[in-house]
Amino acid sequence: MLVSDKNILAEFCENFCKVIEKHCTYAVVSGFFIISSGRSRGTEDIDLIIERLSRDKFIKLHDSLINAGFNCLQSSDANEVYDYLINNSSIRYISGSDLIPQMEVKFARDKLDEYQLSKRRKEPFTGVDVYFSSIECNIAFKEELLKSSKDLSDAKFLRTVYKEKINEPEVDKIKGLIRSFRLK
Amino acid sequence: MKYDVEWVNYVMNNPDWREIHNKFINAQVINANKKLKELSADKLIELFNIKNKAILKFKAGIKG
Repeated sequence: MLVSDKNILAEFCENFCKVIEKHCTYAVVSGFFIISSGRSRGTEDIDLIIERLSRDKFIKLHDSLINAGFNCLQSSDANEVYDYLINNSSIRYISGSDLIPQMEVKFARDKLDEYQLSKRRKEPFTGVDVYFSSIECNIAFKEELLKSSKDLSDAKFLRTVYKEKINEPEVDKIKGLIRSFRLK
Repeated sequence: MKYDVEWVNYVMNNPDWREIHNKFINAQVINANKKLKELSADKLIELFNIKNKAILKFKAGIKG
């Protein structure tokens, strides 16, 4: 079997983000960044934060995704899907007939999410041409908020692979924002 | 989940890590899809908070 230089998750993510970037600012957050950096663990979904959109703008985005071959699991009615987002619930899109991968999409819900969007970047080491939340954001969320065994192992992995690139004061700053916005 | 020191070192020192990694990820995704297609529509709705049952049945040929 010929092995592409992209895996199934990466192709799905790039195709999805090509549509998204025509409509709004986004950042891929959490597990998929760690997996794309080489950590071998399973995942069923890719988490995506997008800027908050008006109903009209979101309907255009949703229609573009449908035209590109994606389906929303929550509803085919864009108005109904929008109601999920404005209530800070996530929505899930799949491609074609496969239930996995799924893109789990949320609106930015607070200053911390807006900060993640403002600091997004592409990371060449991943080989995936999409904007990710920063290495520092990923480490801070794993170490300060999530803290499961899996999350702490993910953070340790990032600290090893990207040890030359990590800005520690920035990690500390984001941990402070997490305490202010998510742990108060 | 166990932190695999040997694999981390491989990623950092061998440019071909991605080829091995892609095979692992692709196999994991394909197997997960196979398992999900064996589940009933009701179970999938519960798992993924799926409301669009008609689309799912049509698109994925799900039992139930």
